[in-house]
Amino acid sequence: MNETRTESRQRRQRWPRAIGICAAVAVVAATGWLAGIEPSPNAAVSVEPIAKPKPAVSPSREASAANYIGVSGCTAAACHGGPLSGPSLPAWQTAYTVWASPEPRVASGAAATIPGESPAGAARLVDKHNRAYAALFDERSKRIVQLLDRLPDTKSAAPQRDARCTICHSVPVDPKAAAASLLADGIGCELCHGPAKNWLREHTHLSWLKDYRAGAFKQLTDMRNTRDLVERAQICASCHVGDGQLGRDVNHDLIAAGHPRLNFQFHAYLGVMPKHWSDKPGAKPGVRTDRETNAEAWAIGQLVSAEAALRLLASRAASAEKQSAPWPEFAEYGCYACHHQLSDKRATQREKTLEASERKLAAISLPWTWGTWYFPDAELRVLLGSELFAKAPEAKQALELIDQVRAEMAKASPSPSEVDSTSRQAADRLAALANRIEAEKFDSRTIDDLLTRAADEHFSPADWDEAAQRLLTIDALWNAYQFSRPQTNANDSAAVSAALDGLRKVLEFPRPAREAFGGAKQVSARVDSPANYDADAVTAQFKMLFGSLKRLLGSDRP
Amino acid sequence: MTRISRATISIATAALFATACTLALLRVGESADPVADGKLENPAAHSFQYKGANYCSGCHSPSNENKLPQDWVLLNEFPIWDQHDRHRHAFEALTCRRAKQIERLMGMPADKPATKDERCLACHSLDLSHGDAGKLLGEPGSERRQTALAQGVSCEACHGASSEWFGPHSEPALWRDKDHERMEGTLYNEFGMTNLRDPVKRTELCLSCHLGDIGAGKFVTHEMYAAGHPPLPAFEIEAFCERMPRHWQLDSQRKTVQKGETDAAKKAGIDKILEQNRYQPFGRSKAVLLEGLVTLRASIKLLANQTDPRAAANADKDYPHAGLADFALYDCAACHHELRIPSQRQERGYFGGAPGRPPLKYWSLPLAELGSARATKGTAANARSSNLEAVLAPLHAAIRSRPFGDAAWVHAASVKAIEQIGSAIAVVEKDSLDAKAARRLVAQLCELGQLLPLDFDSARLVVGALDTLVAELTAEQAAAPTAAEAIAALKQAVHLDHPPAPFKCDDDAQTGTADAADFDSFAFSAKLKPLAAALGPP
Repeated sequence: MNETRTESRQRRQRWPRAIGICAAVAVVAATGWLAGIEPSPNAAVSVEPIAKPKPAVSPSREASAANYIGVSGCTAAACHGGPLSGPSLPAWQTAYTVWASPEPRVASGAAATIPGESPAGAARLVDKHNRAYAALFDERSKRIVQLLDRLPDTKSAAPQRDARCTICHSVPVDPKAAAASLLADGIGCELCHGPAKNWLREHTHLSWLKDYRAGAFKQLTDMRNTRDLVERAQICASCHVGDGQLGRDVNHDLIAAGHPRLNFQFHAYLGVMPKHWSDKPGAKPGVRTDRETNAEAWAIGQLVSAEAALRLLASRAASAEKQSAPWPEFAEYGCYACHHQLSDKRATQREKTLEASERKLAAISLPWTWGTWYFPDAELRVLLGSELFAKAPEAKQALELIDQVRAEMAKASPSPSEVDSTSRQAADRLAALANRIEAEKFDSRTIDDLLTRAADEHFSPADWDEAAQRLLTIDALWNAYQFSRPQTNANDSAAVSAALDGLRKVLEFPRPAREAFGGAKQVSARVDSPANYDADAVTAQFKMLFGSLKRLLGSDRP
Repeated sequence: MTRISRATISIATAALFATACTLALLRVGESADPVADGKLENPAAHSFQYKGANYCSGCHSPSNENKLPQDWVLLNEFPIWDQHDRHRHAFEALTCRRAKQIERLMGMPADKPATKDERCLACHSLDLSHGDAGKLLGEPGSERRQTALAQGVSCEACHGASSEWFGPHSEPALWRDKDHERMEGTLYNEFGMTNLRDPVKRTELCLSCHLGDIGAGKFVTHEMYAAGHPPLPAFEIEAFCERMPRHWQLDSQRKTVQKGETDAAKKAGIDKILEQNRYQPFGRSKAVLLEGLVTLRASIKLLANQTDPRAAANADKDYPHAGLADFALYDCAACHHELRIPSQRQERGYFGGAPGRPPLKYWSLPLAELGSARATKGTAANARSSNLEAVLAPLHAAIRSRPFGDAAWVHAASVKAIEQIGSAIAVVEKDSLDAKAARRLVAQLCELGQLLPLDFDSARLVVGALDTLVAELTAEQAAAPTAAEAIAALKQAVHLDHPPAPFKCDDDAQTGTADAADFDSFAFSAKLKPLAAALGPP
């Protein structure tokens, strides 16, 4: 490719980054009397880049019940509680209604579901955040606390007043002291947007909207900048990955007691959450991508999730040094390295995958693999090795540090102090890179480059996690690709989509209808692990997918 | 080969392997430190050498030339082992498809395949890792040596390297008539023969391969399992001996023959043998009682050896578990199960354990509880009155303290537990059982099996033990015929109702894990009730 031409093309494609911000309108976007006014993509406001990774709200303020007004403070019909039926209202005005609605909503964007977690093509969605606290009253939640604390029965378990649970299932305040009405909101508005006591009034002013668009959130005490994808991802990751400082930790003890595994992938999760904000794709195809659902969200998700995972690991290691946390922490490792039935069929499949991924010796003597899901190592390498970060020294440093963490975590008893310090250093590098994303552009060249790397023919998944993560990566990048090149030949597109569907199918978990256990009791159980994993079928599907992508990428290049 | 005038071969023999057993046995209990360093070798073992199984077949086969009297031994031992015993094929297994896969996955060098690797040979053939045990067999690669090794787990693997006892053991004056030295064990130690007559030593010998013995270099690591080594099933010694099949006579069988014998001279002959062997009724029941404790101690000994700080220092640096308990010591199914929502494991609970922290592989526990109850309160009706729970509590706390336990804590707790279980074993060794006691043991086992939901492995152990206890009760006319029916149903539930399949080299289907996965512990405990009813109240 001609170097000069590329540069000039890049220059042409450069856009003021504020457009991006304006295009992504967050929930609490404007005031009642500004109804109908939407920021236009052309309303470019030149501002300084926003400093990001620092949390906008200090944990101490978040932990104080007095700073919360509760969901009921946001729900007036003229504010965020507008009806969904009748004349169409702007997204911000129905934000609460969408969050609270028990009726499934049709997804606006492409819903990329985690293959094992929910059926493929699940496009009808409800926001589960509103039921987060209610879930703690389930028998299952009580059973978790009973098993964890070795209580005689579930009657003596009180997850609804247990800080280990409420820290993510409700307001992060002391659940024993907090009012039941505050806790009952579950993951309400202020959990993501910040405690509203100090900005409830101000955020209804026109001047506030101006500041909001300009991204000057530092002045708006306690409000979090959810339109900034990095900060948004950090907010999600704080619970969906974990945050050791806040005590948000779904560790293996908790999972073994019955808590579901955390399956967070930012891009896919945005896809399945009913949007209560407007999601404006760029005006001109080929100029920029839809920030939220495609390449940029994918890239930011990888970095933020990996950073959160490393910080969580560091805090687990630090606690382990003080003997106050389990170590080694099994939740750091891929579930299916250990959790598979000891049948010949399963063993053969596992041996095949291990051999194909050239990890046989280390893997055989100690089978666990660190960092397969919310620290998705292989995907992070696609991103960090891309042209996007070709000039960033932090990318190389981060990979070296991550290799050190991996080597330590591969031991039967990793050194907590070593893991603590190395993972913190690696997290710092990733944080710096996440900041750079804002300055980098996701043009079609970047997307081609990322997609080419993701469709690497040498990719051989070491397990289901790696295969599923790669599927999600290609899903996101493929959406971005289609958006950046709407003129793509329909047959070529259909081939890629078919290959993606085929891959999703081979990665689905088996679903036995009903199963007997405990003698007489019949409970319908679903298998939550890839019991029917077929390494050859997965490899064949990837080959087909990569082949169809390569054909496109080869022919489409200018 | 020496021409033997009279075959006088020790009979009470059980299952497996050999040389190292002498040292392994000495190590337990007798040394001040119950967990001697795994790398130590017993200097005495060097003076005993293998001759090979072909030296035994001359006398221990029925043949026209063989005019030896058959009161002490039946002289059909060699063909029984050669034609029916799977031990015969242990070496051959190292050449089969599964072994090739293990070699490949473990990255074993081509010039040192499984058939030449001491880690494999120690249990699949004769243990040549100590000193000059193989000296008589010739240089590596020599025909005699290869023939001896290829015979798998042969005579000397269990009875001990025969260089010193080969001659004396066929001379009554030198061997069988020295019953005092024989029963004390001094004769065995002096000549390097394994005292398989002693139930504790016999159990430990079998367990050295069927469970593991780090000191003897016999241990199936997690790496071997992961590469494809079949799981070691729960091992109930009396049931397994029957299934071998047994190539020796039991004193209880002799006793039955003696009762029906009309020829006074023959009757006196058998009487003499029984007396020389210190025959007591319910001998096998007592072996069963000891077995649980011995097996539990052997499991904990593996744990202690592995967590020994010295082991960490001495271990091969490529071994990732050095100084820690190898994953192989934990309950396989704790990790290796498919995940389900809702989960049977979470519904069932963790029996006081911590969710997410793998427990030890402990199939000997119910049987050990029986032994411990007998040791603590010889007359208590309730099996759970034993103090085993208290003995194991510190160890369990150490194992639970973090995933895979805190090594130093586990080591200290294991050493203590080994001592305490050793004292219980010493009490039971001095014990003698009668019909009343045996009936009580059956009742206690049935009760235990209903209190604790047993997994497949511990259920197998319980059934094997019940089978032996009821067989001895039946022989003494102390059990109702319905007991036999109840036992048959139990044996069926744990797949002990049919003889093991004949050895087949490339039979990949036989891994035994499906049995464990499909086992219904609630249905099993219901099957214990008819047996308890058949025996009546203790």
